[in-house]
Amino acid sequence: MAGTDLVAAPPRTTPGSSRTPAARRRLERGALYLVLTVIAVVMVVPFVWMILTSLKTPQDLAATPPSFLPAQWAWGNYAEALAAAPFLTYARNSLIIAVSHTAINLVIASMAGYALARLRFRGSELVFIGFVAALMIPTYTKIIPEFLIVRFMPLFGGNDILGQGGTGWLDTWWALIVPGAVTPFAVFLFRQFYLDLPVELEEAARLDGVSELGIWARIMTPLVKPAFITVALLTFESSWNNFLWPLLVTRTDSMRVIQVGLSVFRTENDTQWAFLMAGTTLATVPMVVLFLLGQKYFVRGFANAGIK
Amino acid sequence: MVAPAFLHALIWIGIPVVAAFVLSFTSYDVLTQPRFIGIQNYLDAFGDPVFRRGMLNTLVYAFFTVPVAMAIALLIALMLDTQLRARALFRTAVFIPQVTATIAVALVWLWIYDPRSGLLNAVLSFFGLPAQNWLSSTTWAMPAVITVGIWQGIGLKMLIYLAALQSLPKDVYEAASVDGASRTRQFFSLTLPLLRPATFFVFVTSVISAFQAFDLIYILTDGGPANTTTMMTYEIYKSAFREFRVGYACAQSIVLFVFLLILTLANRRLNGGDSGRH
Amino acid sequence: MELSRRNFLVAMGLGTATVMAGCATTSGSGAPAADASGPAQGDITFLCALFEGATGKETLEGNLLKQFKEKYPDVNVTVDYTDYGSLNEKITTGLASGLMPDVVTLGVGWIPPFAYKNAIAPLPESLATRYTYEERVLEPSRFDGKLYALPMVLDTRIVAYRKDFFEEAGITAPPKDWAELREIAKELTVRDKDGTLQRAGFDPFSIDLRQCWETFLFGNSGELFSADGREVLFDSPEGVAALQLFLDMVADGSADFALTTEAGQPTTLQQGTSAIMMTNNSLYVQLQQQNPELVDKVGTFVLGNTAPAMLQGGTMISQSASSKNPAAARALVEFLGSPDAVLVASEQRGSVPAISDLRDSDYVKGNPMVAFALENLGKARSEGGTPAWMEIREKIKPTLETAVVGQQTAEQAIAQLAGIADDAIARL
Repeated sequence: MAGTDLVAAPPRTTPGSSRTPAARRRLERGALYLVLTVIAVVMVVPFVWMILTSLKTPQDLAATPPSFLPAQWAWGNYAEALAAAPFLTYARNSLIIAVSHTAINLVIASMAGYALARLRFRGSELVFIGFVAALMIPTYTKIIPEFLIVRFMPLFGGNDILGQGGTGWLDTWWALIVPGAVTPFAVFLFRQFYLDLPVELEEAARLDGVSELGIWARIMTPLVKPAFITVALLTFESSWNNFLWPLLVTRTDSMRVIQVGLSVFRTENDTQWAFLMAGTTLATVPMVVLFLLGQKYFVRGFANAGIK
Repeated sequence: MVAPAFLHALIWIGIPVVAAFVLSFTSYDVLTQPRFIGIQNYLDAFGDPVFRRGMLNTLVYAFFTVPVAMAIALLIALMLDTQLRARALFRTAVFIPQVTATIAVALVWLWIYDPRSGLLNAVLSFFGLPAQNWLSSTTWAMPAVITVGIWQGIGLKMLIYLAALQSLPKDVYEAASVDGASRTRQFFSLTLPLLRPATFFVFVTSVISAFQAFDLIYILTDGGPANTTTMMTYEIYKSAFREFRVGYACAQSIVLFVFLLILTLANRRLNGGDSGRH
Repeated sequence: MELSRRNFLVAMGLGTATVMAGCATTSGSGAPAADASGPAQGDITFLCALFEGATGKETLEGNLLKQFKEKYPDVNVTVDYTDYGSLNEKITTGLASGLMPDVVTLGVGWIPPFAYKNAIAPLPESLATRYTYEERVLEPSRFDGKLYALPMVLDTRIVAYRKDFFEEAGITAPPKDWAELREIAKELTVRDKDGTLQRAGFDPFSIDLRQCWETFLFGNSGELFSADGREVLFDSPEGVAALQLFLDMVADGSADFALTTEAGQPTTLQQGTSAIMMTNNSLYVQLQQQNPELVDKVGTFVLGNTAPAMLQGGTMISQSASSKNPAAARALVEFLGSPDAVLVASEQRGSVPAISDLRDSDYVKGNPMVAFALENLGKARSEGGTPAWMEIREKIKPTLETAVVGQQTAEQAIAQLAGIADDAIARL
């Protein structure tokens, strides 16, 4: 458990305080790298497998036992998969939805999370419990009522004030963006992160006459940057990967999203594995890049907060 | 400040919940008018051995996946909360299952569990242990599914722990190391208590997602063999969209909801709230 | 009851116009069959689980619907594509919101439930005789003596075997009944010296256990339900024997519940881990792509004990009962059920065309398994046949599995399943 012992310490402890000799440090570091490498391999195997499968020919796919590397690298799978559906349109739609969801969720959910964590108002506890309870409703339970709300949205899509007569928000960006824009998950997460911040900070700001909105935006939020990155990544990811809801509320091809596009490779009795994996790889790579970029900002908010 | 989010949740979750609650007392099947049938759906749900099995399986699944995955995730997060040179790569690697398509994940695990050419049996036979028919065995299917559940859950939990570790105030640690507290001590007397809000969050969301486990089980075992790996959500999905028994599915959902609510409130009560410093 | 339900809803605080409106609109589907005798005109939607992807879209909209437009210039068709797996969800939400598409693709077994609840409209009987259909092929399109759908593409469950393994063992002809199947399967089973199964004589478990058991039930002269769909008939000795056969073959050691074809892997027959397997006619395309060397080594046959039977699945096309432009919807159903449309749809997904005359097409001639299935459509049998089918269908596989894994006997499992089915029928 040398690894745990080492890493339980916060980084950048003063070098002088370390009592371990340099040799032991190197050993610990080596062990840590070894453990992390093993974990990383276990986590990454399906992803690598997906990429390798995407490069296999049908004959390779039939190999028993399955071969790890393709015998013949079928790069053409990617071109063929991309030609199977208008993926450029789908990707654009997915991007619009994912970016909107992320932006809206970050602002609205962090505000709510902040208020629930720091402001004392009547019923705040109840509202919080309500958000947590909202997390507990299975998707498949919500989906029919949500669909009905979208379809009977008053005064949209030819509907009258009672929501009759037209198709409401169906087949519009409203239906794709609004219902999933704010997640109770994010509200809950933000609340938990704002909870831990020192009271002195906001009290000082309040004495200086900063408004509540200002305290949230300028004082507290920079301190929970990792929470923002986390919510941004997760919101973008789940929005990008959403399949059923966009399929249900859209009808025209030009409104469809990338995951719906990927379903063309799976028909009732047959799945074109290589193409499916090629398409899925292309759909996943942006997420990995985003994460690589995002994790850089996982740095301590307090490092430059200047409080003491 | 909470109003916009609250209003959104009220419309898109509140109304559906009320609707589901009302419909759970009806015979609603999408094709004909809902008819009020009292608590018949609830009687049916508790009288259905398969749904009961689903409840039991869900509890077992959550019981095993949540704490184990949480412990592993925290451990990994601690390892990655360092100045290692390759930390970006390691962090990404651990997060990757979260973004890998379920179907790709399932393919690999199906192959690992394959009784003849699979990796797991190959490893077992290397150590002279007997091979198993993992996913088609009533004994081993559930442990096999739980293992995948643990594996899959680590990335997200790690991410949240990592973010929480990064938000911990540094000054406390500096004071602690000046006092000469050992790192292990620091972890148990400082890090863990400070992580309480994050832990509460990870626990609650993990329990909820364990109770709603669906996709992977659907592809790995289809709830089988003989319902040994079926889950509550899977039964809800089948009732609503395969059998068109929407009213019944709503009743099943309410049961699931009540389960989760009790678990969450119990956790909150046991831990005496979740605030870190205050 | 109707009114009091509504009061109840209001009383429950569900004052939202939205959900109320949802219920109010659904009631429209209970109206008598729409009149389709007027001129075909107006906008209609087509919920389509066929014609996937860019090529499918080009086939349907670039080719077929252009022809349709020439014939019916006043009809505008909007196609709503969905994958087969999400068809249920699309239809459920469509029905709930009162926006059921005018024309829908449905699966085998869905017609009685939908027709019984007046969600789809009956079609004129003349459409049943317009082209040559095997009577068996139209069976799942009928309810209560009326035609409710036109079949487009069929997917059949057939038995495939390795000719090379048969030859090695000196077996010259495929089995004619279950006794022969058991003998041959035992003979073709290969185990290594420590008893590990290398090749199963028979693999019934690579297709859905429900469909496999149904094939054997029909092959044993059994029936699922009575003609009116109100009485369970599968709990007969024939039904029990069909399930018992699988158990016996597992006990023989010539079949293994753990030996199946997993997602993403080639079939057991391709791997050489089975000598005879239950499969789908789409196997041929897979062989061509993955194992061209096996194309000549794989044969097919229709198996039965007392009555050879081949299970028929497929996609059919129906007209919504709540269509506002019933004449236009009817015209589209008729058009999509015609040989031209049926052929291209079958060709695109490697399925069996539902119209027997298409046996002379180049497509059928070029695909021996499709040709084989088409020749044997006279032996085709379908699942379903009761308005309660949707509720019964999902329960069959897990209940039968309880017997296969040894939790109860075949007789007990079938009795349990019959009880579930009786309950579902009683709820109608």
